[in-house]
Amino acid sequence: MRLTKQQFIDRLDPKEIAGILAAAKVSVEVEAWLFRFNSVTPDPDGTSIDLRDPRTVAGLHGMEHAGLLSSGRAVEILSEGVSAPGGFDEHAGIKRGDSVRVLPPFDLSFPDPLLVESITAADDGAVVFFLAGAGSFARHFLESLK
Amino acid sequence: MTITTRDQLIDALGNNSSRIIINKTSSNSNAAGTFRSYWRETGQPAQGAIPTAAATCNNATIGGVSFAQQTSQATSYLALLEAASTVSGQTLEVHDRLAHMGGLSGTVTTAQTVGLDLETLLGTDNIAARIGDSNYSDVLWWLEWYTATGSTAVTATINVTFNDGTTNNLSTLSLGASQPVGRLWGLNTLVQAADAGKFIRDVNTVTLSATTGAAGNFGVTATRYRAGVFAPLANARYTQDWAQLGIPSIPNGSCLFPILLPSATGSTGLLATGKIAHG
Repeated sequence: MRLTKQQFIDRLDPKEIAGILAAAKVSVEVEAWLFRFNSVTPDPDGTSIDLRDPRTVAGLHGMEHAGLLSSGRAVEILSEGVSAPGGFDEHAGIKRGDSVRVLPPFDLSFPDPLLVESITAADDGAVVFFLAGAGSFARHFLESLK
Repeated sequence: MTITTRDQLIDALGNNSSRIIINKTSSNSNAAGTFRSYWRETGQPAQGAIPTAAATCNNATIGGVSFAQQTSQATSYLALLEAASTVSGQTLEVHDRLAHMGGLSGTVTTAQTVGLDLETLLGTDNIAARIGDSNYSDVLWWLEWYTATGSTAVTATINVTFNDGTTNNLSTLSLGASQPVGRLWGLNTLVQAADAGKFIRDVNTVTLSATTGAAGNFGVTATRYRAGVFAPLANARYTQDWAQLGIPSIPNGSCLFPILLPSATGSTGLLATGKIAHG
């Protein structure tokens, strides 16, 4: 499964990110992993991170071994079915990372296909799809392009 | 008769005028560069009610500044306005609140009916005179918040009818999270290029792209700007006389109320006085 860098970061808890950044200041190994992560450029499909790439797998397990991730988190982050903290991977036939078209009456302002960045629940429990560069939409304003 | 000479104006200011008194404090912090309605703030004039169905406002509507109604051909003019603010860099605007509606929900994602059509209201409360130009070009349209909506940022699409009878959607409006009480979003700037030269006569529906997470309460308000005074320093009084104001006419039935345009963020107390000259 391939992800954009933003989607990969969404899989980490903010405290985990803070711990990794702090560790990078004192550990060359962690700094090297971060260097590789920052250096990676997106492929034509917009994604950069392959959850099955041995370097990704080794890096996350190494962080777990070093105590930067709690036990079991590496497997969880690498899992294709895991949810980002507080979010969903899929809802009503649309997954995070899918391309969608916005339907009327918002189509004129957002005519191009857009990427689903996150799927979360609003305060009233209704599921909301956040599209990159466009904001939040209810399911009935979206058409999956897959 | 109408006032046509300076002597008549001076006489009216001294002997035949109605006072304007505004004394209110915002119940939450105003964000710089955003319009803020003081309709729902307590103080003077009294707190206006949250509207429900579309209705006109008049000089007797609680929330507006009342003034002596004139018998034709006598006319009223805003001839003096002074203002002081507890926060620096504030602009007090006085608007005639023509009509309003409320009860729109922050959790509904289907088209919500507004039905605020000034053309059908022209015969009520002297609206025909109060709108200014008959093509509705003097009318300002707003989304106005009465109860805060939720923390999810959404997009709004507003469908309107123009002065030529055609209908279309305005450009979409991005609404940030947690819209507070009193927040005003201007709609006139959202007229699409394809509708250039047209003026909004009626707001038909509002559609939100997603739930904000909380119903809250917001609506649509139509106003006509009458005057403004800029108070650059806090706690200092600034005055606009008749020449600076341009003596805008105040037709019978006008429901004058304050709108603030803050250039600095903060909870703002407003103290303003003025005179409506009659003649």
